[in-house]
Amino acid sequence: MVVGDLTESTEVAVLGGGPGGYVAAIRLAQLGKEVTLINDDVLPGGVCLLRGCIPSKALIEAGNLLHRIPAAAAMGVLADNPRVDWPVLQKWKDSVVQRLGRGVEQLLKQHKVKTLAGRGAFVGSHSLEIRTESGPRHLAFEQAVVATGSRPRPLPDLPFDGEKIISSDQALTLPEIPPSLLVVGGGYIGLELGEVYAKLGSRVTVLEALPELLPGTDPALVRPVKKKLESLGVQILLKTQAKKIKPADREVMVEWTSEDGASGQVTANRVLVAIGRVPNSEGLGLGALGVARDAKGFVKVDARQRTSLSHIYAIGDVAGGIQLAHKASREGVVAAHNIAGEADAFDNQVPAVIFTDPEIAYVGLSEAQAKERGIETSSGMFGFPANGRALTLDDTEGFIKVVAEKSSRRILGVQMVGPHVSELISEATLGLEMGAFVADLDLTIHPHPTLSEALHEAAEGVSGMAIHRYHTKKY
Amino acid sequence: MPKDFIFPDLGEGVAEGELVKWLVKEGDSVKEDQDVAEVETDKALVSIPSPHGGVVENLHFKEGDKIPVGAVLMSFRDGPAAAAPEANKGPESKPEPIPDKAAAKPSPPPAAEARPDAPSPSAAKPAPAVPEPKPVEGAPSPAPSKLPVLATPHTRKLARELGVDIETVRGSGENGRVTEDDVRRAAAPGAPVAKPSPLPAAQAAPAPAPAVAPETAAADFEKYGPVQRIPIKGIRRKISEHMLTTAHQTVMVTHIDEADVDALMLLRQEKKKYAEERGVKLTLLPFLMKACVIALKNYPYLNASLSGDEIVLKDYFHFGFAVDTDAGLMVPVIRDVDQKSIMRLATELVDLSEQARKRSISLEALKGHSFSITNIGSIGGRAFTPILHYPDSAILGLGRTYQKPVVRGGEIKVASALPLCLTFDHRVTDGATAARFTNEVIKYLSDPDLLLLDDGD
Ligand SMILES: Cc1cc2nc3c(=O)[nH]c(=O)nc-3n(C[C@H](O)[C@H](O)[C@H](O)COP(=O)(O)OP(=O)(O)OC[C@H]3O[C@@H](n4cnc5c(N)ncnc54)[C@H](O)[C@@H]3O)c2cc1C
Repeated sequence: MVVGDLTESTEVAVLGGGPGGYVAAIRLAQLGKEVTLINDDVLPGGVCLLRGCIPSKALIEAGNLLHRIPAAAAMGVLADNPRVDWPVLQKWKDSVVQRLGRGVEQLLKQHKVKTLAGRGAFVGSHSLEIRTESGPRHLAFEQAVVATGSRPRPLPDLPFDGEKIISSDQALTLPEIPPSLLVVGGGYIGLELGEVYAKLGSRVTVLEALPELLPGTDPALVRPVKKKLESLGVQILLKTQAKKIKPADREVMVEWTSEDGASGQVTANRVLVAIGRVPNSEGLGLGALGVARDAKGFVKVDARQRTSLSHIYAIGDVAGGIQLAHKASREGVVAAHNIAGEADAFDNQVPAVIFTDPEIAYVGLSEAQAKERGIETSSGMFGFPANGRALTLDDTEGFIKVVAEKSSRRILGVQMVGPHVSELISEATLGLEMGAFVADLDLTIHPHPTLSEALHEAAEGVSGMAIHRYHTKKY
Repeated sequence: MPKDFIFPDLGEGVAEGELVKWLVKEGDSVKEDQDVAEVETDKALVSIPSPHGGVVENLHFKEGDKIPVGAVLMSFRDGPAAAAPEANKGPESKPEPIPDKAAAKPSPPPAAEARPDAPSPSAAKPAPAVPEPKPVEGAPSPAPSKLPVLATPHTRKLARELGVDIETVRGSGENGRVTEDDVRRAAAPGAPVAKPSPLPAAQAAPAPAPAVAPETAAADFEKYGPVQRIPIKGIRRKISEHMLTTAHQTVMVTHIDEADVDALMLLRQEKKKYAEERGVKLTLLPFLMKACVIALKNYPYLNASLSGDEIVLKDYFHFGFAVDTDAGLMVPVIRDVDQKSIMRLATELVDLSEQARKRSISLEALKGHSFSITNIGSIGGRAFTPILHYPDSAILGLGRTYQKPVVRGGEIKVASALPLCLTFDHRVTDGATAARFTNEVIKYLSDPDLLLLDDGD
């Protein structure tokens, strides 16, 4: 044995401390397992806490506030010359992240989860080597959970330089608000961040290769977002690809061509590349172990989160599927339950949330998806302009749509775009998990005045009987 | 591109099988429909035919492995049947024993490889900006119109705990909702049962704390001497789960009596040859089944199940009968006993027992029982307490026929006595019914000519 090379052992090793890994670790500890969490970030919480959900939402909130202040004049609230103190905003954002990270650390400690700081890799079917500051350490385990997450994907042939060609990691910690920003990729990360900077004063251009922003999202939900982006002066180029990106002294010059044959140039101080994320599945020793991965490198798992080696589990972004923190956490719980001998499997509806302005949230099937499956639908829709609470918030853009199976009126899906819909989607998600029918929503009292009434009325709308809407067509 | 052979769904409730034997090896050429493997499920030993022909490139499991439904069992190489060398097969193209999540469970059609969401128009296009945040939806890909099972998370969890594949359970609730009761019922043997799972009820039963801590099943028996540990699997596991369900779900009482079967023995003896000439082995059992079916028509609560707030009286008479096989107890079902002749029953008894012993019996033939019979008499024993064949409300156990002195017309005579042990569910009916039913069975067994006269209607 080499000096400093200690072999320790644990029942369960969790590799990666994101919303997948730390949740799995805590649940395992709650179920009486001895757990060691290996994480190479400064704090637990993963991308979500350090470089994702939380810091982005902090910036978005500040951007929204700044944007709303002038509009509040209509309510008679006058505030002259609102502006952003960028270093203060960054500090506040960091303090939120710190506070949450310390909270998670504390919870891990309280649950007696052992933590090891360093980068881990499998060196055997039951052992890990962890490179720590004080040298390598070996950890023998009975079962392991791979929760190493994902990282931004660079453009082919154009690595991130962290200065002009940046990923979402740097976009959250820029030294200044860039006068101009080009966003490559009109998915949710690109739009959330692009919109913040537009609100904070950047001149923003978005390039998207596909014909629509937010590919995969019901186009009806995207429309109000696109309208808003345009009103903020964001230039949106669809069906367009960046051809050449040339970093120059102060700016980057980007040549683009569109599918329609058009082409042009944009210059920007920074280029945010947000074209997707790649799984952190290399360098972990998975190949040698025989843990199967798909062509894109995502670790293959079954519904119990087991990989091709049944004592090794994988969860979260690295395990493929939709890349969202709450999906990672639920998978962490499924893995923990199975390790502890409890029957659990991922059979869930995953709500999607997008924090653009207005927000988008949806769960289950859209009308088009139901049609693709040959299901006949009835749906009900209710717009926020007729919702009292939305009017008092002076925020009425958007609607809620409830899609039900025509014959049975079972709810198939709910789509929302509008104020705070990220907070409203959980009721719909619970409904889907419970196998709710339209009447279940319809016959449930929703408090007044709240935004949730829009969901209620959309459900009533399935039968053509929303109270605050005149339906010409009866169902 | 090699073709994969996905381990098929073998029928209701079977979620995995144990690979007993490969019938082909890598490099073999296989014809469509040729059997490639023998797989043991909870219920039976089955041969798996290949859906297509080709040269076997990889066998992805070893004998003895558990194969989940939906896993890639083997892959075929394209092209001619010549044994081509393995081309550029790096370590990354390793056999893939674990199915994608999308394949392992009812989940959405995988639009783009890693995305368990519905097909989206953009799926085939180049690099969309971010993974689309689309919900995982519960519909399985082969039947795209199917909705997720109509059951709450609570019920779905219970199903997993009881090892029931909830997708195969017929819901009795409104709109076909699968209720907690449906799941518990499905946990019975012969009903669809899926995955192995911990036996939950074992933990659920709190015991009063004795002065000395009781030994648990996890006890360190090795402390006291050498032991052998045999994993519970296959049929044994099925039986143990089923017995536990029955013990927890029913209130069992056993009523014991004896039938004087001299006349019946004589009748059987007389007709044995007749039967043999027709290739039928005549035992007492088919007579007994006839006697029971007539009596059941008069006592329908013994041909019943308790379901939720209802007692379900069955208008059909399908009898399960216990067969001791090498792998453990199996209970094939003879359908419509009331509509079949004694000769026909005798034939089916032999056929089904044979199939059960050879493990070639179909899953269908183990299901749908309304009443059951278990015969320990061929081995020995006078009285015992049969365990119900859940969800049936009654089971009749037979002991060994023996000679006993009886008093007839003031004289002591030797008579043949057949011990009868009727276990019934006391939630469904009471001891008086059980006794009356048994009396009636005894009546027919003692005077088998009556079987010609009555049909219970
Ligand atoms: C800008 C942005 C905004 C987002 N906003 C949202 C949102 O609003 N809502 C939402 O649900 N999701 C959001 N996401 C997605 C979300 O962050 C991820 O889905 C989630 O973090 C995945 O969690 P995870 O546990 O799988 O992995 P991660 O969060 O990626 O965590 C993995 C951790 O493991 C560590 N690690 C990796 N390899 C090793 C190793 N070998 N040894 C030790 N440690 C290792 C990593 O450093 C990291 O800390 C956002 C993402 C981004 C980039």
